[in-house]
Amino acid sequence: MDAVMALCHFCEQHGPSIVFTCEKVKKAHNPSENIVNEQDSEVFTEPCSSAIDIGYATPYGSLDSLASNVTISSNRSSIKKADLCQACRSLPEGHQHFVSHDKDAGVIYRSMQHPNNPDVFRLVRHACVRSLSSEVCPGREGPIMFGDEQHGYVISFTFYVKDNYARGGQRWYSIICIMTDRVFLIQSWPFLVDCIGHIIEYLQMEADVVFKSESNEDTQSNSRPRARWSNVVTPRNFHQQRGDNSNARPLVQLTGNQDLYTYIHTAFTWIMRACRKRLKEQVTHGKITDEDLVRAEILARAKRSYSVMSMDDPNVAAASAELNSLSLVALKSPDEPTSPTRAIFTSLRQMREVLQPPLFKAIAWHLLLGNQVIWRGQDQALVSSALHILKDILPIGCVKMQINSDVYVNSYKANILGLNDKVAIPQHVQKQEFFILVDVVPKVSTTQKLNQYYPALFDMPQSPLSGIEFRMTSGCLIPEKVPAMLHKLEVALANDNLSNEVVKQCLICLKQEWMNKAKILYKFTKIDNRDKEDTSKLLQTVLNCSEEDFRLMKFWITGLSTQYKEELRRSALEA
Amino acid sequence: MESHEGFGVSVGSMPKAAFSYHGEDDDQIATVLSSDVKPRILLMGLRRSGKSSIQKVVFHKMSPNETLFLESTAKIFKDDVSNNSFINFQIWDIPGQVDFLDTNFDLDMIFGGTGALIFVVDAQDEYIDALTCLHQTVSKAYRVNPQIRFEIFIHKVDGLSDDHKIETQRDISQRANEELHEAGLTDLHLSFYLTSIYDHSIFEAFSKVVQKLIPQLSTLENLLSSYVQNSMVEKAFLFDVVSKIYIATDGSAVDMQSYELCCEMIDVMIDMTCIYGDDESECACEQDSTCIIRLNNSSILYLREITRFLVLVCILRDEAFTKRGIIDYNILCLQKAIHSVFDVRTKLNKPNGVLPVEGMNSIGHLANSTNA
Repeated sequence: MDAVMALCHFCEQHGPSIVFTCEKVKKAHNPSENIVNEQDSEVFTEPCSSAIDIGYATPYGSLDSLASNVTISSNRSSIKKADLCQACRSLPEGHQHFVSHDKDAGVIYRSMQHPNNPDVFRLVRHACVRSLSSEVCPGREGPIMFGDEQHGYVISFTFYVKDNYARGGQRWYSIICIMTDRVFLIQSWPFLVDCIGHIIEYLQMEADVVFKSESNEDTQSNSRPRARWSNVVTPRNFHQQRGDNSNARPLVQLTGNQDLYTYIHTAFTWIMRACRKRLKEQVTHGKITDEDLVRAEILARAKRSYSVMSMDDPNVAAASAELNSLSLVALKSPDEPTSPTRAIFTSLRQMREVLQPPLFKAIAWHLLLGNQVIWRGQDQALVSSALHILKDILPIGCVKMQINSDVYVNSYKANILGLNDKVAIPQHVQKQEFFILVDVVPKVSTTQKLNQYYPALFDMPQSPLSGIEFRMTSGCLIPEKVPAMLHKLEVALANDNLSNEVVKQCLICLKQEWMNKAKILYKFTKIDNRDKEDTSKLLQTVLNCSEEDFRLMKFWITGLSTQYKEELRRSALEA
Repeated sequence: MESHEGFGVSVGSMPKAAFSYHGEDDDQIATVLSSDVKPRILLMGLRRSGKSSIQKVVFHKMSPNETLFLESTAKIFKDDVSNNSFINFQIWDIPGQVDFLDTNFDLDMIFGGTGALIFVVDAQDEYIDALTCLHQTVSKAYRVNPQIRFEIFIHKVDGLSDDHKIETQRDISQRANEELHEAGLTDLHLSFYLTSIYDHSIFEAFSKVVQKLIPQLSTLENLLSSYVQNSMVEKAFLFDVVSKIYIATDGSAVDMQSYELCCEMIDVMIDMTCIYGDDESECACEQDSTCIIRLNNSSILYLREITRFLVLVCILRDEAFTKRGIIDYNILCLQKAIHSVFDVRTKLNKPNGVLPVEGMNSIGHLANSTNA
């Protein structure tokens, strides 16, 4: 944030003019040298009185860390101050400026009549003219914001200060804050307006006291030259008084406060410093997906019961592995070295090619609807790689995976199950239709044998999976209509124009989309306890879902994050 | 009344050419006016020269003494003079402290739709600075929009003696024109007026400024002239009631005294309307209003309503008023003529500086009432 704050005045003679500017300057060179260079004997006679600690006012209580003092030093490049009238001039003839050092940030806050830097001056000047002479504030006194890319963005707070001698009995001031960052300025609006409002309140309060005492004096003694407008005006004395233009008075006199600019400097410095500190920018790349949320929850659960659960729990292992941002390849069991020649699945697309689309579709269908997917085979590396790949189709909360199991595990405990080839499926399970079994059987063919013995003869590129047969056993047929999600996934996989990375992103999006829909279903059915038929009708129209999608969502509800569920429940209770 | 003729100061200063209208000028104005729906009159000048006072006194009925309490103007004050008024334009009061010729300001926006630029010079002050500023402003504005009419108000002349007034005006106009000649801007014409808010000179000067923005002015003047000739009336003014600006008069010279009399008559009428008039009616002038004031110098002021916003004020001799029937009949004819003048505009539906005349229905009603 590069901010400049300034006090502006609509001068009776000169129009809008900058009275006092405070800017933040990067400490390019040692400030003590700076002062020595610009030495002025008068300045160093009173260093103590001008030292001001601004640390006490910091909002974060970093009193010690901010060792700052204000030094009045002479201003080398004097602006043609001869032109300035009393009202336009802030700092007295000595051409001085105030400096506050912020040692932590390595910057100094410097206040003077006009900024030295011509570019800054141009900006402030432009903002000053706009603030006082062109922008219209409803009610005349108050804060407004204006600006553009070229001239910076400005919050301007215009106000009156009472003056007996002024035309109309009051003078017209404004405090402006210029920034180049529009968003930051808007975010700082409440803070800045509040702070500037306090300064103005203080100025006006002081000026009111002076104004009242002066008005009293005027009525008591006629010897004093009275304010022009309080006289009875006849054409004669109107003419005589005309030439008297020197009714311009500096703000110090209007407020009767000799240390006024010291106060304004510290106030500006504090505002600029606090304003910079109160907001911090943080870059976030997109919103956290539900996947991440659930994963974090699973991990947290695992940590809590670390003594009970081992890292063997595939969910936890997978979750932690993914959280460590390892690639998909690393998901395979670490004790099995991965080599390209090994017969394993590497991606959904490859699996689809190997298994052929109908089989893949069947597996995916069962998986998405929450049926048990069992892979049985001798080559456990192959089986587990397949299961890891398949797991990605489901939201992580829905995945209950068991690899390399020696016994059949119920589908409640594992919807993705990897079995040894010796394990038999219990009879009662086989009768049901809520499972799909894939048997991985090595194909023993002549080519295969020859290939094994004489690899050099068959040098042509051959998939390591070509020698393996996949036999599918399932209790039910895949219906014509599949969930929209599966359909879209197939389309994405079938489209060769899309790279694997794109397919992966596509899958994430699809999952997020249907998770969101599942959330709505959850809200309707579990929290609001709506009528089931009514709900399904509503969902079908609102979410554009079919019956199939509805089945999918019912399963996916189980994978919603507990945090979300709790929030919903709480809000329902509160309502 | 004769004894006062020729007393008016500004009469001589008023170039006759300002009244004459050429066809091409007419078109130019039409284009200027149609570019922006409301034509604009800019009030410019150095600080404290009396711009805001003029605007307040003429259009807001502020008493001249009160203008001393005005605070300095910090930003352009745009004042719409359109409601309840026949003339329809915007007055921009521009603060003298701000240099609007600076490149930061959009000159096209300021001078683009401007019909007239009034530059106010304080006659009680040293006017050398003002003349420099005048020259810069005028030449810049002329470059942006050559159709602007430039009017110079030599203001606050109430404190000056008559000789001094004439001398000041001569001096200012000479210097200003010389400078323009040196700069080669010979086509640029400046009109000068001596004004003060303490008498009616400011109203008169403003009337002339506004008149130049009314395209139908010459027709109206001819109508009034023929009316004056045929009705044995000495002088006739067509007034905008609300602002007391006269938008047209007959061909004879305008006497300051008679203008003031007419202004005061309108004030009387407005006051009477406020006391006894219908509260519900918005405009100051009731339908079919008439007002007659007999002066002790055997003159008569005769006021008749023409439209909701316009009144005709005549000054005539006592003996001429004996033939009131003729006068009234002629007024009726004049009224019809004026209606038809503005009716052309309404039918053509051209946006211009003049409000389409409202209250057309009243004609028939009016005619009937006179017949009855």
